This record gives sequence, C-alpha cells and structure tokens, in this order.
Amino acid sequence: MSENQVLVEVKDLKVEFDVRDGIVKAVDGATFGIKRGQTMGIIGESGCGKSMTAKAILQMVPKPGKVTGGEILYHRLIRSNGSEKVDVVNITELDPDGQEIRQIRGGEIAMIFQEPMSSLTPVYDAGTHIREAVSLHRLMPIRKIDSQMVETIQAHRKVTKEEAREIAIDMLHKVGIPKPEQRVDSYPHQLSGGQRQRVMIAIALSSQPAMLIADEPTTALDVSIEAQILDIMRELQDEVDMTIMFITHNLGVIAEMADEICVMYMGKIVERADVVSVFYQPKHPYTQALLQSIPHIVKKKTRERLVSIEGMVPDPFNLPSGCLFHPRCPRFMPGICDRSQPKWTKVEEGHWASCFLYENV
Amino acid sequence: MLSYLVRRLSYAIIMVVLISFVSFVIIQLPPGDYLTHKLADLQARGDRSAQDRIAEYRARYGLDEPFMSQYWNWVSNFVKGDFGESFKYERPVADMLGERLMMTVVLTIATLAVTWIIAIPIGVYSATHQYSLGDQIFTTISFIGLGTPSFVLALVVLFIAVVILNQDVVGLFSREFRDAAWSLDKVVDLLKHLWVPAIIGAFTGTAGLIRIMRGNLLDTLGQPFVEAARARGLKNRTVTWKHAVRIAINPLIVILGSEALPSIIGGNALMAVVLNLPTTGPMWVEALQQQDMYMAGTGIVFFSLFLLIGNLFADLALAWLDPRIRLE
Amino acid sequence: MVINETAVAPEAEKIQVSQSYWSLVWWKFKKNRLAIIGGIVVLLFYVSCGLLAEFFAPYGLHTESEFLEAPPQWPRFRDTEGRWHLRPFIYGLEQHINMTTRERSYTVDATKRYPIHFFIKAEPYKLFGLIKWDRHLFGVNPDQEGAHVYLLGTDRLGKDQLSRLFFGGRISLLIGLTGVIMTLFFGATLGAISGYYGGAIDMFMQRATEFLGAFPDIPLFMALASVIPATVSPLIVYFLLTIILAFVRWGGLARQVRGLVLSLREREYVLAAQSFGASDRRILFKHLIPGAISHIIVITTLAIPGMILSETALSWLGLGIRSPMTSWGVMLQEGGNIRAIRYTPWLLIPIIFIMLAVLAFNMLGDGLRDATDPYGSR
Repeated sequence: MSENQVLVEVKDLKVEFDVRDGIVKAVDGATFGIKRGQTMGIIGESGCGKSMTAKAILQMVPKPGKVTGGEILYHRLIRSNGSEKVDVVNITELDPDGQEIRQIRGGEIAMIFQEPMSSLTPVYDAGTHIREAVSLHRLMPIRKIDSQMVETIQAHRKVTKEEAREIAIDMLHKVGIPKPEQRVDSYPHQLSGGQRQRVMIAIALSSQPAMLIADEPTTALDVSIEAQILDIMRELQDEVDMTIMFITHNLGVIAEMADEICVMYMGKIVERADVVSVFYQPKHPYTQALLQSIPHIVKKKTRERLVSIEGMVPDPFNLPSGCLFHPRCPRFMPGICDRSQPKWTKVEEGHWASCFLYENV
Repeated sequence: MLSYLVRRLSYAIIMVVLISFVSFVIIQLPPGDYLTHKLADLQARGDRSAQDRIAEYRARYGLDEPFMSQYWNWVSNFVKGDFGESFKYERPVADMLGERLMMTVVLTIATLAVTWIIAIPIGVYSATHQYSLGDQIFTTISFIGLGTPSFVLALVVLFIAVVILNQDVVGLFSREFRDAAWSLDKVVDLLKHLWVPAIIGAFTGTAGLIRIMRGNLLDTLGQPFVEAARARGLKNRTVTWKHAVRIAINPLIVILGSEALPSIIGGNALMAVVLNLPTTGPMWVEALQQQDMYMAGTGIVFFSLFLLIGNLFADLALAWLDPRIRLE
Repeated sequence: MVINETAVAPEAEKIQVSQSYWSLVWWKFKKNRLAIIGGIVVLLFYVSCGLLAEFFAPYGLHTESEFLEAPPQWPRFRDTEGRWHLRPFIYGLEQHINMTTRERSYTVDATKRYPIHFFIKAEPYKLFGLIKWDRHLFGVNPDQEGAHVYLLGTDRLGKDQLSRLFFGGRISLLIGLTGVIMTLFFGATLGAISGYYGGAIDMFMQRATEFLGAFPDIPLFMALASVIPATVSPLIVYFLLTIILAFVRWGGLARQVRGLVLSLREREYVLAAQSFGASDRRILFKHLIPGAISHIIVITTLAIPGMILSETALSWLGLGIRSPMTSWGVMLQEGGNIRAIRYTPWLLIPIIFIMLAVLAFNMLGDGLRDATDPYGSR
C-alpha cells in the first residue's frame, strides 16, 4: 500500500553561498521525488551540488550557504492503532536548530558520510555512538492490555540503558561485524575503514529511519570492501523496506544500487529516469558523454583513445550564458543553446531531461 | 601502564637530583656568599665583633668547606627532611616553607580555578561565534592579557587601589584576622581577599588559554565527525560540548601540566612580592637575592619537583582522556 | 549570473597571473587591520626610540636637574588670565621643602611661563652616533632663565621621564630584537639539526631542553645576572644580559623549530630530494630551512615580547641593565614599590609603553601567522 507513495519531494530547490567574490549557486532549481522503498541515485562530478542537495534535506547546509528557494516536503507516515496517516512536513520551513528537524535528523532521515575514517568521534566507542542515537530517537511502545484483552499501544517511552546496549550489539551483528559483543566497546581507531562504515550504517539504522541518505559512502574504501558494504545496504533495505538516496560519482556503483537516477551538473538536474533508461537510452548529452567516458574492454586491440568530455567545468563566478553545458556539448546548437536555459522536459514516460533537443517535440 | 609510571617517576627523580646540583652551583656563583654581605652590613653599622661572629657562623654552617662536601651534606640531610637553615632568619627552612605552603597551595588552586572557569567557556564561545563582536572583544582582551606579566598587572592594580581608590589592598587578610586563629570568619575574610591576587595571577594564563581553546576548537569543528554528530539529530550544544570540546580540550590538559602550573608557581612569585602576600614566592625571591643558600636551593628543588609531577599528571590525564593514546 | 560570450575558452582570454608565495602572504596580511596597526606601531617604536631617540627627547639621557621627583606638567594654550596663546606653554614649578618632615612638594608658579618651541636647538648630540646635530622635536628656549619642560615628570635624580622613556625604549626594544636573533641562530640551528637527524642527537637535545625548562627561570636569570661584576661598563652589561636571556630562552625556540623540522622532514619534497641523492646538508639548508622560514619569522616575532618582558622583570629586580644606562624595566624599578606608587605614581608610566609594544608585537605576529598560511584552513 505504501509502495508507490512519495516519501520526500524536492521542489525547485536553490542553495546559494555568499562568498566575498560573489554568489555561488550550489544548487539551482533541483526537482525530484523519492518514493518509499526506492533507491534514488544522484550522480554527477565533484562540486555539482549533490552533497548540498542532501544536506538541504536535513537543513544542514553549512555556513555561509543558505537555502534560498524552493521547498522540501517530507511525507511522514504515522502508524497508530492499526491505521496509517501521512503528515506532510515542510523541511525548508523548519528552524535548523529547532526541535522538529532534530527529531527528523537521525530518527526519520539518517545520513552516512564519505569519510568513515573521521566520521566517528574518536573518544567514544561504537556502542556509545549507537546508544546515543538510540536514546535520542528510539521509542519503546508501552503495551497495555485493556479490558477487552486487546493489546494496545498507549504511549511510548525511551529505551533503558540495558535495552540500548542490546540494540547496539544487535545492530552490529546485523551489519556483519564479527563478535559484536566485544566490538561494541571498540574505539574507532581500533576498527578498519570497512568496519567503521558498517558501524556508521548500524548507527543510522538503529533508529529505524524511513530514509537513509548515503553521501559517497564507499568512495574512500577499497573495491572489495565497497562490494561488501553495498551488499549490506541492499540486504538491510529489503529487510526493513527502507528508502535510500544514494549519492556518488561512480557510475558502476550507481548502476548496482539505484532504481531511479538523477544526473546533476553545476547545480542543476539535467536528466532523470529509471536506471535502465539512463544507462541504455541516455537523452541528455552530458549523460551520454559520461557513459561514453567509461573505458571499454574490447577484444581487439584497437588502440582507441579514451573518450573524455571536452573543456572544463566552468568557473562558478563566470558562468556560461544559456545552457550551462553548451561550451562542452557535442550537440551544441548556436543561437539556441547559448541564448536561454532549457526547460525541464518530459521526453518519455518517466524520463525527463533538460535540453533544447527535446523541447519542441 | 605500570612500567610507564615507574619509568617516568625514576626519570623525574634523576632530573630533580641534577637540578639540585645545578641549583647549588648557581647559588654559589655570585662572588661571596650570604655571610660576606652580612659582614659588610654589620661592619657598616659599626659592629666591632662582627668579624668573629661571622667566623663562628661560617664554621657552624660549614661554609668554608669544599663545594662537594657542602653539597653532599645538604643533599643527605634533604632526603631525611632536613632542608637546612635559613641564614637570615636562623630557622629551619622546612618550618618556614611549611608555614607558607598552605597559602601558596590555596592561591595556586584558586588561580588555576579562575583561569579554567573563565577561559574555557570564553574560548568555546569565541570559536562557535567566530568573528562576532564578542569574539573580537575577547580577542583584543586576550592580546592585552598576553602582554601583561603578573607583576606588571599587580603594579597597575596597586596603583588603582592606592591612588584612585585610596585603600590598602595588600595581603590576604584584613588586619584583625592576620594573626588570629583559624575560624569560619577567617576563611570568609580570606575568600574576600583571595580573588584579587587570583585574578591578577590568572590574567596572563587565561588570555593564552582562551586563544588556544579557540584555535583548537575551530580546528575540531571543521572535522567530519562533528557534522556527522549533528546529522544524528543531536542538539547544537551537545555537539559542541560532548563531541567537539571533548576532543579539542585534550591538548590543553597537557599545557596545563607543563606550562600553566610552573608559571603559576614561579611567575607569580614576582606578583606576590609586589602585593606582599604570605606565600612562598616573596620568601624565595628574597633568598635568591641575598644568597640565603639553603632556602633558595630548597625552593628551586621543590619548584622543579612540582613541575615534573605536574607534567606527569598531565600526561596521565591525557592518556585517561584519549583512548587513542591509552591503547597504544 | 554573469553573461560571458567567450565562455568557450575562458582561460585563453584572461592573463593568468601566477602568484608567488610571498605576494599571497602580503595580500592576506594587508586584509588584517589589527596586524597592520601592530606593524605600524612596532615600526614607530623602533624609529622613534631606536634610531631617533635623541631627536624626540627634549633632554639628554644624563641630564639631571634640581627638580627631583617633580610631577608631570601639562602643556596649556590658555593662561590663568584667560588669554589664549598660539604656542603651547608650561607653567614653571616651585619647589618647597618641608623642614620638619623633609618632604618635597611642588606647586605651579603662574609667574613663570615657558613657551614650547618645535625643532628647537638645544643640547647637542650625535645622530646615529655619527652626525653632530642639536635639533630636538620640541623643547623650551635654553636661553630662558630656569625654563624646563617635564611633560611626564622627573625621577629621583631630576631626569626628564619622557626623555628616559625614549632612551629606555631603545635599550628594551633592542634587547628584544638582538636577544631573539641570537636565540634564533643558536636555537633554530640546534633545533633543526635535532629534528632532522633524530636518534641520539635528538634525544640528548630533548633532555637538555627539558632540563632547562624544568629549571625555574627566575633563579637562573638572577644567578647568571648577578655574576656580572659590578665594575663592568653598562654597555658590556647590556651585551652579557642579552646573551644570558638568549641562553635561558633558547629551549623554547629550539623545541618549536624541532617540531617544525620533524613535520617537514616527512613531506614528499624532502623524500624527492633524497631520492635524487642530495646531501644532508643540502637538504637542510636548501629545502627544509627555506620551507620553515615563514614559520620562523612568525615564531621570532612572537618571541620578542617575551624577551622584552624578561628584561623588564630582571631590571625591575635590580639585576638587569645598570645605570646610567636605562631601560623600561629600570624605570619600573623606581616606580614599582608602594612608596613610589603613593607619592610619585607618574613613574609607573613606562608600563603603558611596555604593554603597547608587547601588544603591537603580538598583533603583528598573529597577523603574520595567519598570512603565511595562505592555503591554510582558516
């Protein structure tokens, strides 16, 4: 029933940084929706705004950045006494230091980061991290048996210390850490990179969030460890029917993980479609160029040059006119692409792109 | 852990022995000794029998014996608790130091407490509100504090008190309580007077600590685990204190042991001279100036001993606080 | 959004000005207002006290007078009858000695009016020790009977405090500078060697510095300073004092340089140089030390105030500079006791200058530290 419901809607999001030399538009009009149970992949080069989009969802855009436009809607599912209700929360209107967003952070939308090496506080062990999160977010239902011998949930209470430790050990076990009863007291510097990332996932999932935002979680890990982490994420997603927003610049990883993909360039989403369509029928020239730049292993030694995208990412203070990609675009149409910005166009059912090639069809 | 402790302690003892030797040498460096000064003094006052009496003293203190035997004499008695006698006051050094020891400890603790209670919150505030008006004000005050040694500040305070306010600020007690027996009232009187020298003594240290806390915290706040903690829904205050400050404060502990403690004991000796406090400082400075050998030497040895112990405590505290060091 | 027609090849249009390290440093330094103020104040101090003290001071260093411990005199423009004068002037002082208590007091005598002249010819001196000159920035007409101008009062021997401030400043500031430079050579070289070679040399140096550090510096200063014979000329005392100060404080500098070298030693460019077969000495002098120069400049600037304060403390205890040479510390010695504070508080004025100089050095050093880290985190 909750299958195709939308969980998080991002509408025309704008995030700007006011620095001495001018204003940098880190995110310029991003629009997409993430459905429950789905994995949405955000892909793009470094600096294209994907991390900022994620941080904006949690109202964690660092100073001097600010959300300057658009809105982010979170559809909170409330289950009480057998019935379900959806409460729409406008995240962009929440106070970044306020109580409501703090409840959402970690408790309903959790985030894991790129550097497992330094994302854990060095003086607290794994168990303490998990227990801190659990004490903050996890509520145990107080079950009462009423006069008609029906078990109802009247209220919730916070977890006790013993329960928290139990949960911690259980979570570490779930993410595949051997001997969790011992590892729960390990400090971050005693764990390997892969183990630390598992701990981060454990912390994130211990509060049973509705959505997990993974910001380049495996970029800093070896390929073999990366495969293990991705496996765990998929398993856990199946187990608790969790939604994932997966951010990366690695095409191979996103092909494995995502159901739907948004391609970002210079703060804008240039293409959005399901994973198969993006990889086999890319519409936007940038996506096409990205896919072409993947080296192909061919049988015959043809000695072809590796394909790369011409030109460089433009200076944020000196942006090109019209479509931001036109200086590097192999399908550049003079007089059109350098005059105005392309509109977000539906190319096919479920496949959108922002390119003049598809506008007047 | 135990072997580390043993190693550090034995190392400290060796240091102290070396220091005692060097200090003995140093005190004897200036030409003549206490008795030659006293002789000149007495003769200036027309004391005829000075010559003989001085000779008596000389023999009694063994001051005409060779250096090494004097030193050995002193050291062998030292470990038994006999630190020698003060020439000027003709009383055992141990007694004289002991009388003033408590006040010195009380003042040192008060100064340390003032330093930390003021510096840490201000440092944290400065870092979390970087470049705000408050931060700039505190930064300027810190600079001034860093440039004002305790005794200079004491002079300024004295000036304000004497010339502008027309009061007597000196000493730790009001007249009535000075020689009175200990009572609750005396303690209250002490507290009323204590805060002035404590603040003066703490001024420079506080300024430095604010700068260091601010710098460390700024570095720490930029680290990924702080952002990760915020992403878990923790309050800003929790993130700042339980996570960031908890890490940023560790180097300060080491500084506390290795710099703050010695500067409080030693640097404030001069301040105590200005303010005429009943601590060990003024007594020691006077002994150094007049080559009151045993008093001065004992002072140096204890100073160094406390310093080394302070260092040891600081290192132990650091290991206790930071599991990364502890588990190496 | 800036519309740029030539966006296709933007790099070709602009002239890439590659910035050298030092120009980046200067650019960042300029932005720090506090640091610039600090730098200007430091410069002013060294010029006015160090170089041109004789010009700025109305009186010579050794000029005594019969106005012992006279209070400061304020220049006025308006006299007691209410008339305004263009040229500022001072009223003379009249001395009274109370025969019974032997106390001296001063009252303002409105009948004696001494106008202040600028660029006046007064006591001759040698500028920079070479050029004979006799102009002073300001003063009173030497032909006028009994004229005197003691803007900041006089000391026990009737010497003008303001003049002494300039001459004293020369000594204090120079000790700061030369002491630190000496410390630098000695300490930095040893620290660099210790850090680079490591091993037994390093261990020994570390222990030595720790030992010196565990020793309280007051007795060390006092003992070493009191060894200087009383008969030696003040100039020699000055030199010996500088050496003593440098000796006691080299430990701190050496430790910092050692830490610096340790961190730089492991950087890639050293490994690269070693792989090319560069000798140790070459690496030390041509690679490590230049890389450390910016840090050394910062450390040095920040060490100068400490040196000045040490000299002040020593002189205040009576063990430092000996008269007739004077420094701010020596001046403090006269003013820094209960009796002086009560009766002649103007003798404490050097404190303001000491604090100002130290403050200026700290601001300058802090600004240099931020500026020499232009790629840095903050």
